[in-house]
Amino acid sequence: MSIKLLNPPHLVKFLVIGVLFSFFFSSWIYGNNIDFQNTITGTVTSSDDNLPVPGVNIFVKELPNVGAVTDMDGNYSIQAPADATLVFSFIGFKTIERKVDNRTEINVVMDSDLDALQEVVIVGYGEQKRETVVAAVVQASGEELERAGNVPNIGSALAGNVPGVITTSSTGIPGGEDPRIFIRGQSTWNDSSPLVLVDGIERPLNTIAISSVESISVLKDASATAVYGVRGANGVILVTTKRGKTGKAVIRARLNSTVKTASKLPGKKDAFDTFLVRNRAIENELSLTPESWSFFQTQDIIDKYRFPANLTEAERYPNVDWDKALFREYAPSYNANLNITGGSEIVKYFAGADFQYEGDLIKQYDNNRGYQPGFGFNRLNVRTNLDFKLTSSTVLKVGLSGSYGVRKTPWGFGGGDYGYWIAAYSTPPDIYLPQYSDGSWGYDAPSGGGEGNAIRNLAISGVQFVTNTQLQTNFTLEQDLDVILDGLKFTGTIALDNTFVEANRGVNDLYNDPQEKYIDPETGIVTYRRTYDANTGFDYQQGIKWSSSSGDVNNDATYRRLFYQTQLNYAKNFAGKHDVTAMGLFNRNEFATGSVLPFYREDWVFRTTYGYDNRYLIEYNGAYNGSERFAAGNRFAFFSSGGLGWNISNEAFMKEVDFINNLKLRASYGEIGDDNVNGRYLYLTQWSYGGQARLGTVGEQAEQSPYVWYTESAVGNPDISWEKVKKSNIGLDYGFFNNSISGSVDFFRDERVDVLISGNQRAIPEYYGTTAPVANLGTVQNQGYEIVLNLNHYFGENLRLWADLNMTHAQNKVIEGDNPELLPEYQKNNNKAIGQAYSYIDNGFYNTWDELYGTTPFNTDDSQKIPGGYQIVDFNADGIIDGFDNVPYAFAGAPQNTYNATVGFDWKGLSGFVQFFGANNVTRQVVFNSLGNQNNIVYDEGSYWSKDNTNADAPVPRWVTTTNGAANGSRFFYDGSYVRLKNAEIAYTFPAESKILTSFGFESLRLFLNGNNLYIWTKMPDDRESNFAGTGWASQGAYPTVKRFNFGLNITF
Amino acid sequence: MKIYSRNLNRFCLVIVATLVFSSCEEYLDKEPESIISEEEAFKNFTNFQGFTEELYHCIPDFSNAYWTNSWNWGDDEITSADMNFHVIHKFDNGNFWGWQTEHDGWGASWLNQADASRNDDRMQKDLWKNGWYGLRKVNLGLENLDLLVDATPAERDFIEGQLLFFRGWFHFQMIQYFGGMPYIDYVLPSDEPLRLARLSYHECADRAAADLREAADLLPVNWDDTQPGAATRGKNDLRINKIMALGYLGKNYLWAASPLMNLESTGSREYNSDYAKKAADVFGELLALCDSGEAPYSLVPFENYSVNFYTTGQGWRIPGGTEAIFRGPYFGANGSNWGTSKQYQPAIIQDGSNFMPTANYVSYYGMANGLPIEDITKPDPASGYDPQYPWKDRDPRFYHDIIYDGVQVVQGAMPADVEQHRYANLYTGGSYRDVSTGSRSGFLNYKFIPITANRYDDGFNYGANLNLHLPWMRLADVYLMYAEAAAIGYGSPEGKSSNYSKTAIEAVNVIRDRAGAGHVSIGEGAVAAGLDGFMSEVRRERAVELSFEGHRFNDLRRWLLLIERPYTLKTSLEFDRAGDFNTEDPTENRVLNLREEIILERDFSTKHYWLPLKNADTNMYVEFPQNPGW
Repeated sequence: MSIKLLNPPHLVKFLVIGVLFSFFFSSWIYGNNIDFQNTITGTVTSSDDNLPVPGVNIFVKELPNVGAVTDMDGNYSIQAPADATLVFSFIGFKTIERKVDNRTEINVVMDSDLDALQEVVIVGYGEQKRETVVAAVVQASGEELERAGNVPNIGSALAGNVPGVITTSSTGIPGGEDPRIFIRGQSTWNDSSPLVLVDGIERPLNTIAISSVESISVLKDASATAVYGVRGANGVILVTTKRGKTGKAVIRARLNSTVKTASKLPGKKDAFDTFLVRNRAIENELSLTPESWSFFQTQDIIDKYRFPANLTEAERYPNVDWDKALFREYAPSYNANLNITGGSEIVKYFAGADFQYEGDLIKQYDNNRGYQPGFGFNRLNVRTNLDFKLTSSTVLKVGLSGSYGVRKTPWGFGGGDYGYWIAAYSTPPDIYLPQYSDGSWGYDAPSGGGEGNAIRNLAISGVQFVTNTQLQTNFTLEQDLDVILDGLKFTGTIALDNTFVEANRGVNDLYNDPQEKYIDPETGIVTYRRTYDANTGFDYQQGIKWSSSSGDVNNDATYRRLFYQTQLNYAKNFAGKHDVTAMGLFNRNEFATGSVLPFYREDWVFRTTYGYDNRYLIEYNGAYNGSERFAAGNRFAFFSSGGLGWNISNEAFMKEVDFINNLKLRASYGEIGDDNVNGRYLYLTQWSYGGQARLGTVGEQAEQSPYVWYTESAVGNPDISWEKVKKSNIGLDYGFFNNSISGSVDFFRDERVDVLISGNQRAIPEYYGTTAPVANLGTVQNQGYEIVLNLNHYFGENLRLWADLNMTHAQNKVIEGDNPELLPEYQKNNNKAIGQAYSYIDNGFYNTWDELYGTTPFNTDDSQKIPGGYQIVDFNADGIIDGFDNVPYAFAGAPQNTYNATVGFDWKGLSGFVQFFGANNVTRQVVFNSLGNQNNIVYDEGSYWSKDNTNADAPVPRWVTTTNGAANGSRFFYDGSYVRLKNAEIAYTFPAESKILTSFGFESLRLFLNGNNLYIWTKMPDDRESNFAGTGWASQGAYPTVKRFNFGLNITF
Repeated sequence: MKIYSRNLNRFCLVIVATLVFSSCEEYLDKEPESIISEEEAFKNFTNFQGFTEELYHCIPDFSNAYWTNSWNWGDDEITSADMNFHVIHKFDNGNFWGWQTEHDGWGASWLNQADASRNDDRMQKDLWKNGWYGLRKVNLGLENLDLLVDATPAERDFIEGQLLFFRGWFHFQMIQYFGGMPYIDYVLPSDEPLRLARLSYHECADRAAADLREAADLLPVNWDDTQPGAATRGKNDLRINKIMALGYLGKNYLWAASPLMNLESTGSREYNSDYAKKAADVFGELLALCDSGEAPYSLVPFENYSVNFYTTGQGWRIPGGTEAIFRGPYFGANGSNWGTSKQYQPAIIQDGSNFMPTANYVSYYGMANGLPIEDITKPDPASGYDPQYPWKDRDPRFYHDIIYDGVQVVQGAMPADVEQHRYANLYTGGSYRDVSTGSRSGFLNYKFIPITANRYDDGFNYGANLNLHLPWMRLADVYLMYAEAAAIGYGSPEGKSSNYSKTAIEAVNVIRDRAGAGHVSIGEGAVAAGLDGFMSEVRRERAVELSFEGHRFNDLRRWLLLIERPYTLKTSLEFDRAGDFNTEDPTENRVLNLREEIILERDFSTKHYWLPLKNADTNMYVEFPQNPGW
């Protein structure tokens, strides 16, 4: 009896549903022959529009087996004792109770329930009514995700919308924008990413089209996640896709047209200012290296960089604004989707198609090679979800979906590439022009091309199309087993997923170098990189050697999954007060990428809940799981959790308290496992066969010896087992004043023991000789709280103001890592956060030679000090600055606090909102080192030290000389806090009677203007929340994160 | 309808029941046929030799371990100012942590790589990680030798000999940089704390010597002539043989005899003559085998001298000729042309990066008559050196190794506007001199590259097959080590071991003769009389013959000279050209105002004699302490 209607019900459909209800339930409604004294009739209408509501469920509270349903006109008739109470309920409306009091006609006006959406909550392997949930589960609807300014991936759209979900983004590269997601922070240094299930099957989050998402449920505490046993410790994200609804076909279309611009990039000085700073650096270090003087640039030359007299000078003294040279002003992106839902008695259907295009921020330069290099992403998703009613008690659900994503990148593009955007981060403005007027590209002759020309790199990079084709299928058979036991239901699921990845399609343009040029500003002499052709000895001619490549299977990324599951559900209400449910299931999962041996899993899960009178709730979950990563004796384990709930607002004594609509206390505790670690068969010492020594003596590649290596490839730990988290959670849900104030408060605490420490993190001397086995040696604690406050108020008839505010605090602490014994306490990771930043501490400048001689010496390079350096704190007071003065500094790389504030209004057809998202207590290392490695680039870093400005922002950079690594103190550690205008929207929905609608035949039309990541307030020099994209080094940058401005419309036919 | 659904119910129940009873632990087992058993690796010669040969990929290619490469860390070499990420730059500043990957952001140190591996990538080879890995592998092999049943005695000996060689060799390499270490001669367990204590240098050296001696006794002089080597006949040059084992056995003894190591173990700053005698005897054994022709090693003729270091136009043949004794494999011969073969020229003729010889070091190249130059700025009637003609009548190896002012560098055509750079303008202010893109010292090092290695002659293009790959030990080194050991062990330049016919001084003269330089003359010119004079010539001979081959830093260390002036100085030679410029014979060019200027002084103390160990290791337990001063 779980017909669920997750959208606010539309009147048109009431009729259909009402008919269905009467069809389904007529047998038991009218099947009871109890003799009643009174026949009560009446009409149920909606307070919204005073129209009748069909399909409302009515029963006698004292005799729960006696019920009725309203007909198409909202009329009902029921027989009940004169002193009985009638209960009127319908999904989407607030349940109403009325005393009969000898009346024969009772007319009821039902108020719609704004929280109707959340009436049913998707939980692990099932769903529960919001009222009965004792676990910490939050749910977001597809509509909420759609507000996020046409971001192409669910991860980005989740940010801020779901309390407890902490996202950090690092790049805006088309097709690769996915942020890192933690649920309630981290409690392990191993993979902390949550388990993601789409329609119950483990599937990647980044290929789902937002338009096909009905809801996203995030399971956070033990009670919710324990059913996932060995996989649930990092939290679980459940994505549920849209399904058909009985009724006439409804066609929805949504179009988004977006422009993207690069978000904040590091500030850099132009050539003129760079030389001024460089000259200062040279003057400053003359006492150490008189030879620095040879680099001093005279003012008349410096002037030419800013004020070149003619084209020749402009080419000889370049002053390139690389951000402008590299990036377009804006890049386009589009999304269009169309879906159709509907259904009959026999079959319900949802079918949708979604097309996403992500354009490239990087400018196109003409390479004269007939292809267009750069980045881009196209994705077409289709999904069909069908529900067949095979018999009155049997439903077959079929889900078929496909995703065809084509990512365009330079040829051979991989994670470690940075040469295509490095110009925005560290290419000197004066080094060369990206392209000279004669068409040759600039290059860095003095260092043999060391400082790569990003624009040239991209222009002749070739193109590669990586096509990701996913086919996902699931078949579910639901069988009511009321014939065996009332309330029993069987569900069997089988899912087959396949993903094919084709790479290397496109244009391979490797090793076809164009002519490159360098003009020595000192002499004006032009150096061409290629003086003559190596083979012919004639002048260098750029060959036409690039060729198209037909593509091949990327076997490593190709995957297949087989999942099958059988499940028994039991749900029954006894005597109106006792709600009992039980669920048991078994599943197996077989997953393989490429040619690896398949990964196997096996789960046994059990859950039972009992609710008394909707007041007292108790739940127990158990999972018995196996993981192939562990030895036979450690392979299976039983995880269990339990929860208690108390709906205080349903107590009799609360009936008097009018302003409280909802007050519920929840508590849960349990143990969940995590085997999400690198490496398989960690218990086995493994040997491998392969590889040959190159003992030959001729050939570019020396000939291999015939003897093939036997190698001990991994040392096993027979005692290895999974990590275990003891999770506890206490929460309070509240709703006051007609739910105009509602929300929840949760406190949580994770105690993770047996955390796996990989061999290279263990305190094992390096002379051990190989990677030590992984061992369960760590303990981590993670605790925090979440506060959710939703406000909602009508001012008069038409104006509604609302606000959703939430905050998450999650703070972890390593209790035990495997630390070297003799390490000082402050350098052990114990009692510090995972990923705690470490830095030398600076304490002002030494301003004179006297003060310099008074500083604590560095253990190396002490002679390289000059006045104006940082005083580095000798933390352990041993009279020398060395590795032991590198101490915990500020915070870790994942934020402790995230905040979200969304404020909006509805006024007639007009609506709008702004969403601010922020994080604090986070540290990010960004090493933008001015003039580092004699690279002629100076970043905006405020004022420099001089003897007249001893209160400066930064020490004078060095040119020829180098300093001890400690001399920078903590200057490259930034407070990673930020507040961003994450989303904003203004939308207009045309009124139903509008001419536009009728003339085009639309049922509804909504226009909107929204945006994503519109503005950021931060101390960080660039807009990246973390350095994980690209090479992981902030100084090598990443494809910039983007701002999106989007115009779109929703049409319903 | 009802019947249908009943059937369906039954069907479901059957499915459930089947699954319940079929579930079992085996579902999650690793498929047995996918498991490679340990026994398989050791059962016969083919497999066991396969097991063993991974060790050859633990030998770093120090001359090609990064794009550009730094392996000379003494007073011999200096880099241009922009090469400040290399180990040499850090060492020059006294920052000896620089060998560790933790202190080497660019991954340019051949001693330690974060991603060390035994694959075919030259940049993933290091000594520290692959060395310890190799030792574990050696011990695994030795402990499982009894599983080798299907093998002839010779096959068994060769495998054991190779394993023992590598055990000695890795330990020797470690202790020469770090001092005494634990001697790893069993497979270390993973389930108990590792608390091995650091031994003294001599304790380690003795155990390495025992392994190397046993290896020498088990291994053949030449695999080609043996039954186990027959399958790979003609391709055994890199496989460990008796000569290699003897070479390192002797070197291990000589190092143990050296003042630094003797100081660490006994407190004496002198040579240890017992170890020196042992060294001389082993080298004598080795040289006798070579001189008699029993072992296939001989000095290459001087006209082919460069084949020791590179080959070109020979199908990428590994350098070394008949002289190289111990070489590691090379991983892609063209790899050296991405950096190393371009790191010696000024940017004006080859965009690249600069490593150049210091002027003070070039001064070790004496006169053709065999006498040293005492002061490069002063005339020396005894040797015939004239500071107005500093390039005249020098040791022939000077002309092979060093580009000096006036040498024609570009051989073929070059554009007219750069024609003035055809000849090395290395005089003060010349176009080849530049702090960041040219020579800082007034010289270029062309020992390891052909003269055509510039952008105009393109001597490093793919078709030229230039393979630059330095040997770890060559026969010339053994002669000089023998000379040092014999002179010290037997107390005289005339000293000799009982098993070899040549005296110390004769051994040095073998090397001089090959180069065509005059013999060592003690008590003449700048050379003092007696053993001291001879030893200073031995040191100079090592400096010249083995220049830039990675020996100088360790030599200065073991002789306790590294932190002493003038060995802490790096100088440039400043001068002006005078008179007509002779393009035909640059040695005829006259120079004026010749002076030597200090460009760098290394501020070293006694702690700099040993490299610092990793803090991560020394923080584990007290018996594994850090080296003093670090």
